[in-house]
This record gives sequence, structure tokens and C-alpha cells, in this order.
Amino acid sequence: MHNTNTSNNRVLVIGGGMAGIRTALDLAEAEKNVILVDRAYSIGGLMTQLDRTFPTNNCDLCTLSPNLSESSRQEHIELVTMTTVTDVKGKKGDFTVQLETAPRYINLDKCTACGECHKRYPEWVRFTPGLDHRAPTCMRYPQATPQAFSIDMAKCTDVKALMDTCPAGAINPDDFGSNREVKCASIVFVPGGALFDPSHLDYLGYAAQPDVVTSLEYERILSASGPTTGRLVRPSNGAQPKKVAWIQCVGSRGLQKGAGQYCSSACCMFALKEAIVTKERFGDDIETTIFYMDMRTMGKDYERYYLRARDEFGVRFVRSRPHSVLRPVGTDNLVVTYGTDSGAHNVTEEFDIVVLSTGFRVADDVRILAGKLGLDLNSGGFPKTDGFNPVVTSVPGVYVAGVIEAPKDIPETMVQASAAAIMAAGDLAPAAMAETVEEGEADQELLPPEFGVVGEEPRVGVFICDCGENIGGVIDAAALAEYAGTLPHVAVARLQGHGCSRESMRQIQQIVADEKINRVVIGGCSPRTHEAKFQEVIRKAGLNRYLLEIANIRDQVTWVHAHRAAGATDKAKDLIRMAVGSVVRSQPLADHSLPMNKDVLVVGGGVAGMTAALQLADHGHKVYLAERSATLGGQAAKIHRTLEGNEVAPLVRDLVARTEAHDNIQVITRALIVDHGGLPGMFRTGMQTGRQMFYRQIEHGVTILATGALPNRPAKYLLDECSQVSTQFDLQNLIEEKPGTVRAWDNVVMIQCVGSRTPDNPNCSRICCQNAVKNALRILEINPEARIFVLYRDMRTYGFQEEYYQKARQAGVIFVRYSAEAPPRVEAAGEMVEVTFTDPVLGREITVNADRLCLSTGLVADEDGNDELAMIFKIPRTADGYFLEDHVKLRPVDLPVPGFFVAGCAHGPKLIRESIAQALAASSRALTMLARDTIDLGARAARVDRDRCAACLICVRSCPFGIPFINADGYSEIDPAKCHGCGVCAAVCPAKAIQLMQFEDDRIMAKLEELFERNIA
Amino acid sequence: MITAERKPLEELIEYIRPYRRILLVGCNECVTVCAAGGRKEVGLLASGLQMALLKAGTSIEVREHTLERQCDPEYVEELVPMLDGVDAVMSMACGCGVQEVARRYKDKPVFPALNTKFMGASERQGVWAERCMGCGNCLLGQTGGICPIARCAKQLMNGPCGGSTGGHCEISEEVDCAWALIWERLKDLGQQDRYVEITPAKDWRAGKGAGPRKIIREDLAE
Repeated sequence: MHNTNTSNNRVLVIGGGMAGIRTALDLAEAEKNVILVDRAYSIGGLMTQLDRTFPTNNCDLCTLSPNLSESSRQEHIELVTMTTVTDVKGKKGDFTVQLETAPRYINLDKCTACGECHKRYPEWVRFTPGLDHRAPTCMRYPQATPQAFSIDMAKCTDVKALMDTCPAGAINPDDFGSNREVKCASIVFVPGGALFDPSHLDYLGYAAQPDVVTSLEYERILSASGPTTGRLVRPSNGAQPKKVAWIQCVGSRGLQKGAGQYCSSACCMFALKEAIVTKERFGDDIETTIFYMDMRTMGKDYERYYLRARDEFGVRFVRSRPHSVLRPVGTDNLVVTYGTDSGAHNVTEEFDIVVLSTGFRVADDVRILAGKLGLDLNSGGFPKTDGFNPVVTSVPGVYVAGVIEAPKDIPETMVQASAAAIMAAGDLAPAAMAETVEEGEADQELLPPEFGVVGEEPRVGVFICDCGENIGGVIDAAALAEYAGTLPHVAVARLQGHGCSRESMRQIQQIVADEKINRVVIGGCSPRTHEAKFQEVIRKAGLNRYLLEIANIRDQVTWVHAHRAAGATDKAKDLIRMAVGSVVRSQPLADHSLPMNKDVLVVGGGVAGMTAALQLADHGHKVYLAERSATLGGQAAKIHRTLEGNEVAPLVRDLVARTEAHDNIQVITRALIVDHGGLPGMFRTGMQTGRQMFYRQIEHGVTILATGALPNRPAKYLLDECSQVSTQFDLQNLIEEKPGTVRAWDNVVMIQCVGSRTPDNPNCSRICCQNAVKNALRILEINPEARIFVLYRDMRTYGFQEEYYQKARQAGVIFVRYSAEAPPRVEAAGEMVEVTFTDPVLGREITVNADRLCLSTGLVADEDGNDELAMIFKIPRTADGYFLEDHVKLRPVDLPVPGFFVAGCAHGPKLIRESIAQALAASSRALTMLARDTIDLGARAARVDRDRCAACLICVRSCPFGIPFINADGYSEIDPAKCHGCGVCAAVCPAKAIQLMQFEDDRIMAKLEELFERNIA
Repeated sequence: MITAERKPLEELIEYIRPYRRILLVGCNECVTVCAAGGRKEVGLLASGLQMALLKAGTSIEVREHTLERQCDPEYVEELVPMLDGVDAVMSMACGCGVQEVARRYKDKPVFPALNTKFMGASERQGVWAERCMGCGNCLLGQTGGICPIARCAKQLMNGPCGGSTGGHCEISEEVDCAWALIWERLKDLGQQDRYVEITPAKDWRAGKGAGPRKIIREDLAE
């Protein structure tokens, strides 16, 4: 970490959860310097404690941990753990921040995370909040970053004994922590959320009943790294539960003492996920019930997840707020008492485990820190943010992202984190760029020239890691090293302790140079995590980085055969012999690279497209903004104001003016994309433009799709047949333009979910509930006597929108639930519309003679437009026609084709400020690519042996990317700069004329021969 | 190209059962292109034979080599150094290659690993169809570029038989009626008059009718 200089030209990120990590990574990849401060001893935040994430039900640690180690590798990030911010002074461009670091009692440079200290005192390592006690030494989970333990000196009774257990001598009882002052140009404040503590709510029994748990505790019980190692059991007696209940909205929607007024946004989905995972594990042996008020599954494809939970997994849904959770004396089970619409009496039902879906809140110390930053806070203690830019706070130069902005789930957190990164980067002086480039070049110069190894007799160096007890505790690592020394071509074989420690790496480098080693085998852990590190080591020693083979004797031997030492040692020998056999056949390979085109194509000239274009243009990139219609502005140009009361027209006017005036932006209207080619970093896109449809071609390095969505207009409830029926869109025009008409209304009815959450369009349109609340409140402002009925299925006013929903109820708007099976009926009656619906409380039909019926029709994907673009750009789409991102959780704006990013409603329905955040995020992600000068293609490419090629065309026909062709000399040619290295051609070639570099047949065969030698002979 | 398919493993095992050292010879021409006897197939068959026999308790040695062409004596000559100690040769070429190897190495038993099928074209990846029967007197110029000899089950010369239905041959729904194709093609070309011309009985002597054939190019042959 070499950016410990005193320059203030960097960004301070406060909080090392998912948001902080994403912000830091985006900035670092865009070559900006970052200090990442976290209070905990390892980064990762709340997400590391989850079991799985919706809607894919992937394991969290597996998705997250590569991001964490990526973070530790980044040279632009200074990671400061166990550290709190005690004071902030100064202003945008020049902040001075005081940091206080608590003692870790472990020297990070020496600790190898071997686990000896923890192994010696197995009771000491803990990670499960609320279900166990804290331990004196503690690494939170195996993939922690930094990969080091931490000691709680207060609990440790025998310091000497503890120090003696550490083979690396990393334990330092004289650590007193430290204070320091750092300077920075901007601050990203991402402390995350705390969880509501339900202990004081006697009627839920959390404090008294071990089987009443919070959802986070339930995640820990389900998690393989949790206290029960993934066995789902009742905390009270260890028995397998038969019935599990979830109670929603605990600590949210202002329901309990101390609860936030807002909706916590993520709880419906995590309850669904926990219920599905529970059902997946136990199927028919377990019953799952969710007690809820409104199911708020408004995220992309979340409604489908809800339907799957209900229809495929048989999760039971009860719309009710339970009255109490009790355990009658002398019984084992919890009794939940609740009422429903269907009867006047309470129902009691027994459950084995009750999970409280606790919401988010702002921690007290975070509120204090927010005060030190000078941030204006709302009633919940969340920083107030700009009406159109959720990451901008009341203090210039200080940005927020994630749960601290408002309660939210992971994808939106990732979006805001990237958005905050580009906003913070905008406050840096341009000098930061030049500075780091010089450093980069200096690093390059340090590398010695590569030795020529072709034709030389192989001299293999084998280095065996014992990885503390990890490997050495199961097999005899010294004997393994000795055995390796007897293999052919092996010149040096030695035991290397922790091969990945800095000291070992230095030694390996030295030995390679001194002993003229020309091939290296590492017997250690997974190449997935460590190959790059060892490649770097041998490259520094003057070897080509591909003359390396890693035998994974940890994951594949000692971890899986921990209890069979003899067999494990034999298997380790096999793996080492295979690696040696393979590495002697390895050849030096060249990495391929191409110059990066730094221009940008933005498709779509709405708010999202213009925001992205302006950001990237401000960062010095030439931007082509292609808009299908004749003017910029998109759908937002038709919206008057937001729920919070911000005027939209000035925003759109300003964006259009700035976009059209910007020197770096070329606006192309009436543009129709017709063809596309090239590769990430050097794309070519053709379009027909203008009235005459002239063809032109644009060269660009990245592409941002911001093509928006269309207002839905289904032929339902007499829409377009009866003049008293309109959409919410039409209604807001009427309110703003003809208030006189609105003043004359006695009764207004709104119907939600028209054309959404239906079999044709199963997803939720996300924006309509707040739209209805917005328009209802506006009508009452103009005409306080109006009676407004909102017929809804679930009110989905997530986050702070909930407060407006409550305001609407207080103002007398009547919200009546209807079910999809019994929708309202509508009939024209002269100048009026008759709307008939069933009131679930009264249990009877009611007819309202309405002056106006407003349909909440939501948004739909532009089916034709998106289909065309998806074909041209080869980008997948969701079932309902929106573009499908690379990873729904962690990469919400990156499309699966590298170099493509998505912003705004092209990704799914969203509000204006959400679209803007996503546009900023897309530009931030684009910037990480545009910061590079070359396109790195690696060495893994297919190579054709022209003498063997029979020109049979099989590779040409089977390549998924259309790269091979038969050249003028009559044999197949594969351009390494275009090859994706998938290996399909190498596998199908009937002449065996194609080899995939790094995976050549002779290396694979050598491994097999070494492995099966004994059997065949 | 000449197309071929590999024989069933059981049949091949019967051939080589008495032998311990086999030379398996592939060909880098037609049979590579039709994925029947190229380097890859040679490797696959070599392991297949060894594994099958090993399971039955016999260990054999299979040497592998693929020639540029098995139907040219110069290439076949390359096998000389490999034949030392070999009990038998198995050829993965078409029948021409098998015979050429057998002619050159008279003291070694030579077995075919493939069934040679027909002269055909690849319709798409992995699909080959018969296109020519080598009749020795090409009439594609009259038939719109579609051969009634190779592609009509009855080798009719003057239009379809009564079994042609909906463009299909009466032997199978899978087979197009060659004459239906010819008619469509002639229509596209505006050459319907060609169809009316009567083609007289074909002289089959140019084909197999007069026994094995030979081409001698006086200008090239020594």
C-alpha cells in the first residue's frame, strides 16, 4: 500500500461493507486513491453474515469474498481496519479527518491467518451475532480481508501461552493502537444500517424465548459457517423444527415502540428467501408461514420470486399483524395469536421457531458521526439527500450510499455505491491521474527481462506450503517436499511454510533466480485465489508468468481428507507429480493487448442517458449520445413533480441544455442503431440518423444503454372508452393544468396494479403506489373535500415513501384492498363512472359513483426496441423484456457483455432519482474501464497448427463468437486478440490442429499419465 | 468429400483380438473433415480399444499416426519406421486408404476401422448427405444442378415417378424427391423447357457398367 503520502487528492470511504467496498473498488479501478476505513477488524459488513441472497439463492460468501480479496489487492486502496473517524474539518476539496485505530494485537504483515491460535483455543473463534459469546481471538469467517485474526486482550488470560501458539510471531501484546490525521478531497459515508433490536417488545417474546429469533440470527442458523454449521435446529432444544413463522415489519412502518416510520424495503424479500431456503432443505417436512401487512416485492423480477414461494414452494401467507408470541408454561412450542379478515375472533397457532423480520435503523454512533460531518438528518437519523440525486448530501463533498441513504437491499446499494464513487471522483483535482500513471510506469520498469527457456533443459522448483496446520496438520509436508525432490527435472524442492506470506514470496523469487529455475510448481491452495500472486513472483524473478503450475493440496487434499492422513499424503504426491509432469511442458506465453478507445456511446437521451453522458463528458471522454426520437428528455419530460414535491421540468430543461452545450458530447437524434461489431474497448456501432436516415459508424470503447421503458396502456376498466377514465399520467397533467376540474370532483377512485402483477405482465411496476399517493395528496391540496378511494393489492411504498402513505391515510384517503381473483368492476354511468368492489373488512360489495377513475398502469419494456437492440448488441433480456444485468445482486449495472452498462428504466421500472443514481453508477463502472490504456486479453487463446489443419470448417462452425476463418493460405486462422479462450474449437477439431494455450493437450495428458502411470504399467 | 462412419467397437475388437501391437493410421483428408478418421478419432479409438481390452484382461499397445493422405503412396511410405514390431495395422481412412496401406505392407494384416459411405456434402455441422455417384458422364447441366442419379432412389432420367408426394420421395419423408427439387430449380431459372427435353437411356459404361475404372492423364503420367 504505497499511497500513504500526505496528499489530499484522494477519497475517504467511511465503512467497509458492500457499499464501501464497491465505492473503493470503482475509484481504485478508475486510478483514484482511496482510504477505506472500517470499525471492524475485517471488511464485509452485514452481507458476510447472510446465508444466501435472493432472488438467485446463491451463497453469499462465495459471491462476496472474491470482491473482498480483490479489494485487498488493489494498489490504490489503503485499507484501515479497527478504526473510527473521530473528527472531520474542512470543506470539499480539502477535508482533514482524525482517525483512531484500536489495537489489534496482531501484526498484519506477519499474520498468515494460519489459524493456530484459534485451533489451540477452539472456543475462541466466533462470528455469530446473538447466538454465541465473543472470543479472544477472532477472525470472522475464513475468507476475511485482511486475512488476519484479531485478539480481544481484555478476555485473554494468558498472553504468553497465546503468543507461543503463533508460529509467525505475529501476536504483539504491546499494541496500543494509534491516532492519525488524514487529508482528503471528498468523503463517501457508507456506515450501513444497524438492525432494530426487538428485546423491549414483550409481546413478541424475543428477550425471553430462545426460539424467537431475528431474521439475521435465522440466517446464521441456516449458514454453513454459522454456529450449527448449517443444521436448522431450534435454539431451545436442538430439535428439527416442523413449523416456522415469520413476522414482518418488526421495527418498521412505525408499528412498535422505537420503530422507524419508514419501510425497511428488504424484509419481505429476505423473509421469502429464508422461507424458500427452509422449504428447499426440508420440503414436505416443514411448514413455513409469513405474517405480513403488504408484500413488498417491488424489485426487478422480485414478484416472480414471491409467486414461486407461494405456488412452487408452498409458503403460506397470512395477512395479519400477530397479537402476541407466547410459550405457555410447561410446553415447548410458541403460540402465536392473530386475527384475520375472515372472522371476528383471534386464532391461535403453534410454531417451533418464530422469526422476527427486523428492519434497519441508524446506529447511535453513526448518528453522532453524521453530526460531526455536518449532515442534515431526517427524523429517522438518515442524512437528507438531494431530491434528484440520492448520493448527494447537504454537505458538498460528502456523499452517501446504501442503507444510510434509505433502507434498501443489495443491488440498489451497489448502484448507489458506484454512483457515490463517481461523484466523489469529480471532486478530485485532475493531478491524481498523472501521479498514479507515473507510479504504474515505475512498477513496470522494475521487472527484469524474461529469460529464454525454449530449448533449455527444464529445471523445476517445487515449493510446498504447509499453510500452518491447514496442510501440515494433516499430511507430512516435509516428506512431500522430499518426495518432490526425487521427481525427474526437479532441481529444487523445499518446504515453504506459508508460501503466500511476503517473506516466502521473497525467498521463492530469490531461489528461482539463484538456482536458475525455469519452471515452478507451488503445492499449496487454490489457483483461483493465489495463481496471480505466484505468477507475479516468478515474473519478478525473470520467468514468464505462465511457466507455473499450482497443485491444490489444501482444498483437494487436506481439507477433504482431513481424517485419512495416509491416503491424503499419497494423493498429495499424485498431485505434485502431475503438476511437475505438466509444468515441464509449459511454454512461455505472451499476453495479448490492444489500445483502448476512450470514447463512449450512450443509447437513449432520457434523464438516465443524459446524466451518464454528462458525467463521462465531465471526466474528459468524448460521448456520442444517440436518441431514437427527435428530441432529448424521454419520459421524465412528461412528469410534473415527484412525491417529495420536487419540480421535474427544471431538472430536465437543465440536463438538456447542459447536454446540448457540452463540448465533449455529440447528440445524434433520430438515431436508429443498425449494426455493431468489435470487442470491449474497441466497438464499432452503425446507425441511421436524421430525416434522410444517413448511415454513419461510431467507434467507441464502452456502451451505456439507457433506452428507458414505455408507459403501459392496457385496454382495461374502460380506459380510452370512457372520458372519465384516465391513467395516473393523465391525471397529473389534469391536476397541474386544469385544477378547476379537480375542484369539482366529489369522488375519485384509483385502481392499482392495472396491467402489472397479471399473468401477461407478472412483475410489479414499482412506481405506481407512490404515484397514487402523490396524486391523491395533490388532489386533496386542491380539493380538500374530495373523497379518494385507492383500490390496491399491496401498498408498496418502500423506504421513506411510507411516510407519505401514512400521511395520505391521515388525510382521509380510503385504501381498500382487492384480490387478483376479484378485481373491481367498472361501468360507465352518464357523466360518472360506477366502480364496484368488495370491502374486505365489511365483507360486502360497495359501489362508488366516481367523477374520475384513475388507473395505475405502470411501465412496460419497449418490446420491439429492446428486442432489436438485444439482437444487435447480443445482450440477454428478462422474460418481460428488460435488459438482464450480469449479476442481479453484485453487478446491477454491468451487462453480461463486457463494456456494456445499463441505466434507468431499460433495466426495470424505477423513479427518476433511482434512474439518476443508476446512470451515475453506469458511468462509474464505465470509467473503471476507460481508465485503462490497453485492453488486456490474457494469454488464453486458441492457436492453430497450420500443418495439421484440414480446413474442415468444424471450428468455424462451432465457435460461439464467430472468430475462426479459413484464410487465404487455406487453413483456419484464429485471431488471439479476438479469441475468448473458451476452448470449444480445440475440443471439436478432428485434426487436433487447435490447442488452447495454458491448457495444451500435452500438459493435460502429462498430468493424466503421471496420475495413471501406476495403473497402466 | 468421401464420407465414412466408424465401425462398431465390437467389430474392431474382433479383428485385432489375436494381436498385441497395433498401428492405428488416420487420414487428414475427407475422413478428418467428416469427423470419422482424423487425429482426434485416432486418439479416441486407440484409447477405446485399449480400455475395452484391458477390461477383458488383455493389455495391447496401440501406436497412433495420422497421414496427410492415405491414398498416395508417398505419404503411406511414412509408416515404414513405425511398423517395426507391429502385429497388425488398422486404417481409419476410406476404402482407398485401407487398400493403399494393404498394398504397400504386404506382410501385415490391414483392417478397416471405417465403413466408407458415399461422396457427399455437409448440409450443416455434423450432417452429410449423398450428392454424387460417379456415373462418369455428368448431366447436372440439364437438371438444374441437382443429380437425379445420386438423389433419385430410382435414378429416373425424365421426371418423377408416381410415388413423389409433396416434394418427398416415397421411400421416406426424410428424403426429398430429386425431381421435385429439379423442377423448382428450373422454374427459378426460367428453364422449364429443359424439363420437356427427353433424356435418352444413359450409357452406364462410363460408370461401373464396364468394370473398374482408371484415369490416365497422358500429359502427367510417366
